Amino acid sequence: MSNHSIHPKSSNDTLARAMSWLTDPCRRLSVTCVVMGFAWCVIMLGRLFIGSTVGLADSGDGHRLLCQLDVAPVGQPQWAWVTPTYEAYDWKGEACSTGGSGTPYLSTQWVLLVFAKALTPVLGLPGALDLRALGVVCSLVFGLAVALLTAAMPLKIWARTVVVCGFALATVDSAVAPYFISPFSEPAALLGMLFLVAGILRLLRGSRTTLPGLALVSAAALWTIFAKAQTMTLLIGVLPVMLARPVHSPRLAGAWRHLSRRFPDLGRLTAEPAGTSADGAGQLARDGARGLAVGVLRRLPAAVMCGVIVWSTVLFAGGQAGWLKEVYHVHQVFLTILPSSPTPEKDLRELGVAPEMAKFAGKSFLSTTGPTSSPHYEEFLDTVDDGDILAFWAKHPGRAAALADDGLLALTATRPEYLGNFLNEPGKVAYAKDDSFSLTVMAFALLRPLRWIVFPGLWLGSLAVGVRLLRHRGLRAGPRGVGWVLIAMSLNTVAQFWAVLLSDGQNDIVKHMVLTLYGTLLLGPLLLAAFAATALSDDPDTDLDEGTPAADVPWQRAGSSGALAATSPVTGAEAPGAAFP
Amino acid sequence: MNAPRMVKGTVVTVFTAAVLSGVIGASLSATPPGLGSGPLRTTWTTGACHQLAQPWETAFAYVSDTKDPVDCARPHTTETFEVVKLTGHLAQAQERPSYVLLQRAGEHVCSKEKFDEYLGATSLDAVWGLNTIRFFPSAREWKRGERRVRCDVTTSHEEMAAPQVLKRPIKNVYTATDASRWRVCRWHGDQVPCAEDHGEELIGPRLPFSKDQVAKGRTYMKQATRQFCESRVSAYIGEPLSKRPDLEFSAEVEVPSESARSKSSRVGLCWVGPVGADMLFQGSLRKNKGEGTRA
Repeated sequence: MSNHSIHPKSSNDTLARAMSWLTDPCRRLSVTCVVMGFAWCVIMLGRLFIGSTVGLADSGDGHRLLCQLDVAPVGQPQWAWVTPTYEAYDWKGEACSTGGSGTPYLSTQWVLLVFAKALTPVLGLPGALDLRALGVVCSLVFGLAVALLTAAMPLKIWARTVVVCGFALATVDSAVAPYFISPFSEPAALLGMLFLVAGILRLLRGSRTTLPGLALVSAAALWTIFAKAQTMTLLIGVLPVMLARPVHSPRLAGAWRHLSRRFPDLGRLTAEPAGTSADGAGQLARDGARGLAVGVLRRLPAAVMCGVIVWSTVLFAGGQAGWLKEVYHVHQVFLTILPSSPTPEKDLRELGVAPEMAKFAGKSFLSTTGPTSSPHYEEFLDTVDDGDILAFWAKHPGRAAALADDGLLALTATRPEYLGNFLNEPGKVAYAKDDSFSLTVMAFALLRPLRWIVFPGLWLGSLAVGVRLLRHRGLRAGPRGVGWVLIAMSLNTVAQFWAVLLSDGQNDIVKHMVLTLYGTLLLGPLLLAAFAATALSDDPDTDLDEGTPAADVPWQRAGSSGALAATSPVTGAEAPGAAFP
Repeated sequence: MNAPRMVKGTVVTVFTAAVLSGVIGASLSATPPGLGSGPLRTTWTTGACHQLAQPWETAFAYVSDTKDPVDCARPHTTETFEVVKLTGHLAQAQERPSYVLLQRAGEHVCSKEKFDEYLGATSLDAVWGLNTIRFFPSAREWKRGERRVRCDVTTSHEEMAAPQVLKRPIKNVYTATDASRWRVCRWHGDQVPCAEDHGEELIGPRLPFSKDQVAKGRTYMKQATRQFCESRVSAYIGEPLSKRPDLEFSAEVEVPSESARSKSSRVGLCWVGPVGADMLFQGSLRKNKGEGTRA
């Protein structure tokens, strides 16, 4: 019997089996996530390296971070060119600190740089650390973030793919991607925001949150905040999200049952009423109080984690070098308040500063003939603090509005003009910009005349859509979670915008706006997700958490005002302002 | 739990473990983030030599140096010529003040006399390319009450550029060698170190004129400068100028480049060089140089 017909047929069988495996409805989601992650990783790698390396030149801020990797730049860092190669150098003491202040510049970006340093020799790149290896690391992490976003997005698979592609396109844009080959701390923050969105969507996929879900969101939030202190504005969005729904924890439920048996009075406090009471109003009040107590108890683990996040953030922010505060105060007064002031001497008197310093308007902290050269400088340092600056802007709302306009103009500028995107190679002009994929750059330039309509409209509109989504009857918990993400991101973006304006002010404002820009860009696909969530139902393959109600514990009480089934529509427990029913 | 879930759970667990292992492994293999290595302890020894090769190590804002000193016969960039104690109200601060205030307070802390003495320079030597850099206690030392200031001599350099490396000690350079690399010379109006081709050599010190003297006019100032230079030129070259017909000197009046009051300030300068406008030479005319040596 001839065997020659078996071999071609067996390879076809293998292919058919493989395709069948890949397209099996049970693993369709997993395959989609892996393919999306892999594809966008490759796209980012191509975007950063094909043709020519695309990065962002060092403004001088790179040293405070890179020195912690025991490396020094080969040659003088230049604004005109990306200088990615660093040689080994043993920095001693405060030579590696924030501006020589003696305080280290801590950032989670250090972790990515550690990997980049380990990868540098593996990739055959020169020096002890080459930022092109960082580009590879960031691309891999970006691919992972895309895969996780795809997994977490509570939509049909094709809709997830479209929405997550929107996230990815925002990241590969010329306004964002070059940061992945740079000595700055922004990459960790940018990637952290993606993981945070994925974490929140995962957390809110069911009517109850879980301890692991809360831990993941906390980790993503802290990673992002610890990347760059200005991202602490994330708290404004993340904390309400973590407290939005009660926590499902069988362990805690078991502990509560144990406590209730040992202390029956405690159990009675939160027990269902045995029968009807003649005192209807009193009963209502007791039910309201009991509901509140139950709501608080059910969110206690989340509240504890929120407390940890807040405490960690306060410690981190408090550890920031006093030098940074000094720089911010100088730039607020002399670069932000005075240059546009019709009465600079009067403004200085209002701030308690010698009016003679008005001549330094427009000069930065680093200027040798600027405010630091004034004999009144020490008095300035002792007098001006954050409260004075905030009070000044509060008393001059018109000028605050003008400042906001400058912020919007900086946002529409999208990328710092003075930093080049290319290596010093033949054919490259100094300070040249990468325009290989610059949709944001072009779009924002076109929208500049309409900036007061487009950007506040987008931010506030996203907030409104998010709230509306929360109240949408007939939606499952997962899609309503998109509403929470919209609320969190829009609040964070507005807070970021003002954090930049009220910290370093006009100094390097375009570069400092990158996280606001990124948050704004992410609102686009999030709005698309919101539309898909309302227009389309969930994918039946979506793996939603199911609570296991137990009748006698406040954590899971079927039928009470606090306990929710996974498929129930919106309840008062989730509407804004009702985190504690 | 069904089989696909078990597989998925296993894959997730393995993947998470791999990532965490990578993170922990990479973090453990790297030095932890934070300040540079070594104890935050300054060397306060006069005559010590320091190798500070990176721009940040001598930048205006980076006010402390806690690197171990090096052998002065080895390459280095600064040498300590004086250690003084900072006094005044700034020294009372519990936390180390802003570097701006420290540098301003330290402007007049280091003594020019000690600087010249360390280099072996006299008032006749016009120093080129060397100046003072100050180092203050680290923030931790300051908290413990340390208030000394270390005055180092270093090569002149722009902010955020590294100083030149010295291959030999700079101590007593003006007496031990001809120090032509560290003297001011001139060729067609451009100042150059005397180790390079030049036509004239500057003799110190500069003669500052008061406002009243400036008001008397240029002719007066030139005459005063000539009288000032005559004795000094002879002392500089080690013999009366009359015995050196190959040399001549010129007395000039200039606006000092470093003066904040440059519009009204004037100084007199003494230049000596070979007779003839286009005569070029290298090295220094200063007597008291080492035989056949160059700095």
